[in-house]
Amino acid sequence: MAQTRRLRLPPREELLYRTLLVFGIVIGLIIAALPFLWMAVSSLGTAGMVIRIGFTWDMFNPLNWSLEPYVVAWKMASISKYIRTTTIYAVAVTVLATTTSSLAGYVFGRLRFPARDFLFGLVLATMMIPGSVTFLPLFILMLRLPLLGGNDIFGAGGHGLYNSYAGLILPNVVSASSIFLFRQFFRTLPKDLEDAARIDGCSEPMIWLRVIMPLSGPVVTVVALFQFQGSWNAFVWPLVMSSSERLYTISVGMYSLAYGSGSLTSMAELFQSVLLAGSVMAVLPILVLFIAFQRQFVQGIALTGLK
Amino acid sequence: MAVGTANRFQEFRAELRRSEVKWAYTLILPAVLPLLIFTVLPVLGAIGLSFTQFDAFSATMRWIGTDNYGEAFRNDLFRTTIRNTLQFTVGFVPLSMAVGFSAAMLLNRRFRGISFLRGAYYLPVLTSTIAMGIAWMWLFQPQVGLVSLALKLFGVTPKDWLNSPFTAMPAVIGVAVWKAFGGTMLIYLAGLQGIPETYYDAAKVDGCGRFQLLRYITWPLLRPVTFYLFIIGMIDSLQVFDLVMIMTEGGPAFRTTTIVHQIYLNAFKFNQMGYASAMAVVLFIAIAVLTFFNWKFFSSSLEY
Repeated sequence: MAQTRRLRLPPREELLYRTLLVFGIVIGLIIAALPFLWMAVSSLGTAGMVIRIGFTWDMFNPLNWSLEPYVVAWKMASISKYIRTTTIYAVAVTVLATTTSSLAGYVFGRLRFPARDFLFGLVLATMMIPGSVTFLPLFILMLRLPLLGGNDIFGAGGHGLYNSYAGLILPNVVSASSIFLFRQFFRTLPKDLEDAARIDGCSEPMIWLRVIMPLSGPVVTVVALFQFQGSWNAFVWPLVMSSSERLYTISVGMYSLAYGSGSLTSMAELFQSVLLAGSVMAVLPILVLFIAFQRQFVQGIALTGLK
Repeated sequence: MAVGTANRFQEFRAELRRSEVKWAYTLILPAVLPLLIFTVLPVLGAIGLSFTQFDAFSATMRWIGTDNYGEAFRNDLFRTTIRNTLQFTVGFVPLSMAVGFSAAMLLNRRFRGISFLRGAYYLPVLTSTIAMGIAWMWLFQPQVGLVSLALKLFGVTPKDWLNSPFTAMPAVIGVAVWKAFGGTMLIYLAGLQGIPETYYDAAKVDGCGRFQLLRYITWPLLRPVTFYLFIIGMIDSLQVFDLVMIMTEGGPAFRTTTIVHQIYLNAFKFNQMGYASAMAVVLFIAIAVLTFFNWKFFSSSLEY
């Protein structure tokens, strides 16, 4: 059986096939990885070298590398501020969304109650509503929330939750696709587990916390990773929700730098290298996370079919 | 005595049920309430706003019926926007699927370092579109960018790729494909691993070659995956925004402006919230139709 699985062409064609295969894989690797390497190397160049000369083999000589663009990006171009804001935002969203979604996934997957299927259908229906349709009315909603941020009871007068961490985070405290993922996983666990706990007088939140969650490490990891990755890279919502640099996430900050509305002008000598250094710093945490959790990321895609 | 025990048991069960129902509603509240407020309500809001002229900062609102929709369909820029978005879709969807499928075929084998290769192909998907857009702007730099240098080897004259009317959109599509094909690849890989090995064995016994295996077994069996990716790809294409914002800002001369880009500009730069909402509603309807097809296909394909 095992022998029939291997398909062999005549030796010459087999060699050609293998060569083409390796060639294809290498081309793919170059296409996928080269922009990262190019970005990293260019970010280390000193001003004159990158702008005036562009590509030279000297760029690959570590003796010519300088961390100056990184220092400028971190200090002058406010990358440190953006990274701080992004970290607060991403951690808050990850913790909140993972918690609320796993609770809801537990309820939908394991409890019986009136209107369950209707409510779960509602959750599924919200999955098809994309942020690009809702960001504008959502912005108005946050701006006009009654009694918050100087607004009166009709939502007039102040700025509501506009330009605040609460405004950034609140719409992202739950994720419908994560609820779905949790529910699917929780349904596979044996029912006896929680019944035993229930007979012993455990309340539902305690069962979730003490029985279900300890068994759900892998799926919690997958959801948390995707929540973190998604909010780390978030652009549209932070862009419309923040007016002060203090609340710029890294993507919004990099955008404002690139188009000159940040604290670095496009005339600066190091401009290009600083921009690239900022981009490297925006990508680095995700790269580290990916290297540490590659298996979980790949599993997550296979599990959800979402990109 | 026996009756009493049975009663007590039933009471205990009823008590458990009541507690279960009470907790169920309590525990889904922090998930369902935000979904209603921050997702369902805004959709209704967009529909309502699309019939008004609205200024968010002075909060003045005037009902103007379907004027916003009429304006959109008379407006040349909106037509350009739709055309651009469709051009992006027509370029992006088949390319990202073809590249993703090829990558999956290349990497659907076992050898040392395979997971490193898959990881490297997939990495672009996870990275910030804005950061990688900045890196790609540098790669597209006319004189010293890597794209110009590489194409010079093939005798192509370098140009300002992102500022020329004929190359800006292809450049944006190219970067979008680069950024997305790893995801398509992983979904195809999952599909490939779901095809039973026995099918291939049977076909080989019948004398099928590599190409015939691909043509008559792999490709037909992956059709549901292909259909899913096709629909998802279109839904994503209709919403392309980040990449356009960072790489071209919709230019040159509106050649790369897209629906979501126009929603953003009209709402936040021109304070035309009602008009922007009308465009958002049009986008929503298009996405809803695609989602419906997707759902219809998968609920009917379960039958066989």
